[in-house]
This record gives sequence, structure tokens and C-alpha cells, in this order.
Amino acid sequence: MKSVLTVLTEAVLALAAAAVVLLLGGGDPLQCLGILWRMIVLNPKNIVNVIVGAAPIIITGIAISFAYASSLFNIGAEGQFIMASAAAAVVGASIDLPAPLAYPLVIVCGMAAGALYAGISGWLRARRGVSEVISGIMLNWCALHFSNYLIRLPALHDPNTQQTVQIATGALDPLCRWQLTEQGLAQIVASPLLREIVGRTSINLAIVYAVAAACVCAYILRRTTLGFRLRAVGLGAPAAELAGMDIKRSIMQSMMISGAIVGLAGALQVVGVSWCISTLNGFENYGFNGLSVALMAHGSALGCIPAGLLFSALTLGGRLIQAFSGTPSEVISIMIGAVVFMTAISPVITTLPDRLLGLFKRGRG
Amino acid sequence: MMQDIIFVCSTALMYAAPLIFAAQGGALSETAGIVNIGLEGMMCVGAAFAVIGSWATGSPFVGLLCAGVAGGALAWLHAYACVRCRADHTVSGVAMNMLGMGAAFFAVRFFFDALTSPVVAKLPRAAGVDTCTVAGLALCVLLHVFIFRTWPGQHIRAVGEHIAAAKTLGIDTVGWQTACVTASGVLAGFGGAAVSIGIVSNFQPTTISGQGFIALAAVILGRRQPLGVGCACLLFGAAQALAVRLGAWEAIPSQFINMTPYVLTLCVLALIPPKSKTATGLL
Repeated sequence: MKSVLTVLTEAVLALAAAAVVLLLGGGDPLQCLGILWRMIVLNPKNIVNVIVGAAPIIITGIAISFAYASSLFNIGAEGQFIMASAAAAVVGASIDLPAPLAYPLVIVCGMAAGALYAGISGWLRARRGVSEVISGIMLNWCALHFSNYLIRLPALHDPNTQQTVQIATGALDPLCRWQLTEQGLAQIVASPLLREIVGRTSINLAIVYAVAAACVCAYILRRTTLGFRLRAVGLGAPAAELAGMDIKRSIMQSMMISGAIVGLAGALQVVGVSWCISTLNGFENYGFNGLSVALMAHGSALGCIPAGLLFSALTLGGRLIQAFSGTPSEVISIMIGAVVFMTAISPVITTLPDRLLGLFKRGRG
Repeated sequence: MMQDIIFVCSTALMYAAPLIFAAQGGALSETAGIVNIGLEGMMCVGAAFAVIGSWATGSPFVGLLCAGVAGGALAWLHAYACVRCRADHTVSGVAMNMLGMGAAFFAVRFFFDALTSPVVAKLPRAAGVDTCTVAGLALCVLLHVFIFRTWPGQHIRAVGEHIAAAKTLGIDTVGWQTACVTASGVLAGFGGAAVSIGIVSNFQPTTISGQGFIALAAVILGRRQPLGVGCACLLFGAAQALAVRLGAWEAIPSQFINMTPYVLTLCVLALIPPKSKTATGLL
């Protein structure tokens, strides 16, 4: 109950911050809210767009929450996502297997790449005492430049573009493959609704994986010995060590599982949305947005689902607001930044409802 | 060949200047015991407001002032969260990066109706050298003297090393930490300005892309000591200059040169673990 109150207080304060910024910038907060409602909640195409946009950041959010249970701050998720996407794109483009083999293989390769890359941070933390935050930030940039290097390789580069060649059809998401078959195409063309939500979006199965990942992670953390150990290490490493738990192994495991989940998101993005990787001038923020999602959800794996959907709706909403009312879409970034800032000062926020209630009671008494 | 060397050296100095400002800020903040991973966001608002200030008044020095104020204001929020609310430094730092980029882009779009600003007046060059570079190198020496040779510097180090002991000596820990973090934002803001009105003369979404994080790497590589951090910045500046010079050269792809600051920092961290834990255990 109390945590729900905290989250609600944070949401209200963030909305208030956004409204103040909007007013400063000469916008109309109520008009913007109206646009958000009309364009997102009442529009099937945009509902699908919100879900498609939410899936990767829900999964990265879950991964970050998982590491956070062991008090590890997986800020390197961005780099793990890039490495996983790169692995999926390379494997997907170079194999020629039937779909039932190719699709799982690409996803497993992505997860393995994510896990190994996170393992570097885990090893540095466990064996060398290097903060995973610092190594994660450094590895993010290494991944960005490495991925750009891969794209330039002649074997992968799609001539005259900034992309790699498209991955094999067999490696694509089942929904995408269905769209490419003649029968699927006929069905989509025949139905106006399908034309809207399948034909004009990048619909894919990633959200199913997201929900499954949330359930599996919540189960592992709450109901298994592994989860108990990881949480114990997070709550108090010296105590856990006294109880005979292997701290270094736990740190490695936590980071690598987290990396594998991020890798899942990266691979799903390639097989379901982009079908290749493109030259990055900056981060695409799947990892960093996952960080915000995890913080919005206060480190709860299941909480990442609504948080990710909200995040995605706000991001899409920002673009729509800009298109319809000319208000800069950056107001949404400020709002999300405000939410993260409020999680940072959450000890103060947590006591805020109590203090307000206290004022109210004192006022009555 | 000689020309190439001169080109790389002068470009290295040019690219090092913004890094020096931001990294010295980060080092100052960490010396006081508060980790500031929000340098990137603070550089971003600094870069944006430098252009806005320079555009509005026609004077790049007013722009520089605006950059300092904007960076400092954002850093004050970080200080408030970390010092008063005992927030997690990393979470608050992540929020700073988001708020900084959001505020910078919002402000630029508000003033110029686009994400790319028009060309504005640049900081002057004196005798063929960037003023920012000279100021940055001077800053390294000044900060070294300040931290190791003056009583405020001693107090700041005491706060960072053992906050409880410092408190029992009657040192105003809250005040010093807030001041140092805010100052780190002012310096990071100057760093942003050194890019947007020092190197180039306008603001684009890619103006600040990673310099704040390279500065963070320099803080770690330089072990938080002003002179060490300065050297690390020069090294990273040289890496950037080499990447520009070798851009089209096939033997070493420029992407690998771009990676050097990060790989070098990781290697140093892995091979030479720090002797003593800092107050925050981050380094």
C-alpha cells in the first residue's frame, strides 16, 4: 500500500514538473493531455506501437531489476543490448537453416553475447573490485564503436547504406514471417483492422517474451535458492558470506543472467523490428530507458511491465504532441528525468504522503 | 610528417580542453566524496546555454557565464539529492544526464525552433591558441594548489576521506559537499561551452556525445588528482585527434581508436586496483 502511494506521489510530482516546464515553454498542459488520450488510447495502431516500443525496454528493465536485487547497478545494459543485437544480426545474416532452428539459434546467440559482455563487468567487480557502474559505462562506448566497426566489414555491409544485410527470413520473428507469406499477406489485406495494426506497425512477439521474462525472474528471485542467495548478497554481502554463500560467484551469476535477459531484448529487436543493425551515431537508449523503467518500478520485475508501457506511451506521446501542438517533445525526457530523480530522493518522497496526512490530521485535530 | 604531428598536437589540445573542465569538476566532486556521473548532462546544458547566451547578447563571455550557471544549477540538484536526501549517487547521476539532455534540447528548440542552433559568436583565440585550452591547463595547476596546499582543500579532502571524522572536527560537511558538487557542475558547464562556442560555434544534438563519459574515465584514470586528471584528458584528447587524422586509414579502423579512452581505463582499473577504497567505494 505504502509503495503504491509512493509511486503515485512520484507520478503526480513528475506530471506537475512536466506541466511547469510546458507552461514555461508557452504550451498548454491540458491540450497535450487531450492529444495523448485521443491519439494513444483511442487509436489501435498507436496502441500496437506503444506495445512494440515497450517490449524491449520492459525486458531491459527486468534485467536491470534482476541485477538490482543483488545491489548491482547494470548501467552496462546499453552495451549488452548493442552486442546482442550485433550477434543476432551477424548470426542471422550468415546462417541458412529452416525457421524452427534459425529463429531460436539467433535468439540464443544474442542472449549469450549479452551474458558474456555483462560477464566482463561481473568479473571486474567480483575479482578486481571495480564498480560495475564504471566498467558498464566504459563497455557501453566500446560496444557502440565495435558495432559500428562490424557494420563496415565487407561481408556484412549492405552496399550504399548505413546498415548490415538483412537477416535470413528463417530467423525472423514468427509474426513477421507470417506477414511475408502469401497467405498472411492476403489475410492482412482483407481485414481493415489487420491492415492498420499489422501492416502499418512493426508488430512482433517480443511482448510475450517480456511478460514471460518478468514472471520467470520474479519466480527465480522469490521462490528459488538461487534467488534467495542473490538477494541475500544484495541485502548484506558480509552477512551472506558468513552464512557460507559465495559472493564472487553470486555477483558473476547475477550480472550474467541480467546480461542474458538484456541480450534477449537485443536479439528480439533484430528479429522482430529492425532485421539488421545500423550505424550508431549515439545510443538508442534501450538500456538507459530500461534503467528508468526499472527505477520507476522500484526494482520489481513485474512492475516493469506497466512502467515500460507507460514509458513507451509517453515517448510516443511526446512525438505526437510535437506534431500536433508544436510543443517540444523533450518535455517528455524532462518528465522521465524527473521521475528518476524522484526515485533517487525516494526516502523523502516516501515520507511525503505521511507528512501530508500528518498535516491533514493535525489540521482536523 | 611534421605537419601531421603539429596537426595532431594542436587538435589534441583543442579536444582536451572541454574534457579538462568536465573532468576537473568530476574529480573535485569525488574528492568531496560525491560521485558525479551526471557530467554528460551538465556538459549538455552548458553547451546549449552557452550558445543561447552568446546568441542573445552577441558576447561569447556571457554565453560562458550562462553555461556555468546552467551546469551549476543542475549540479545543485544532484548535490541536494546526494547530500541532503542521501540519494544513491548513481541513480541521481542518471537522472542528471536525462534532465540535462532534456533541458538542453528543450531550451534549444524553444529559442531556435529546431534542434540545431544558428552560428553564434565564438570564444576568441589568442596568438593562435584556444583560450579554452590555456584556461584548462591553468585550471589543472590551480586546482592542484587549491586541493593540496590550502585549508579549504584540506577540508574538502577530509570530508571525502572520512565524513564522520570530518564532522567531529567541526567541518561543515554538508556545505563543502554541496559547494564541491555545484562547482563540478559549473566546470562541466564550462566544458560544454568549450565545445559549443569554443571548438564549433553552434549547438546540435550530437554536440555533446560522450565527452562527459570520457571525462569520467579521465577522473578514474587520473586517480582524482588534478594533475593526473589533466594528463589523462590530454591523452584522451590525443586519441580523439588521432581518430580524426586517421579517419580514412584502413590499417587501424578509427572505431578502435575511438575506443581507446574506455579500454585504457578498463585495463588500468583491472590491472592496478586502487589501494584504498574511497568513501563511496566507487573507484
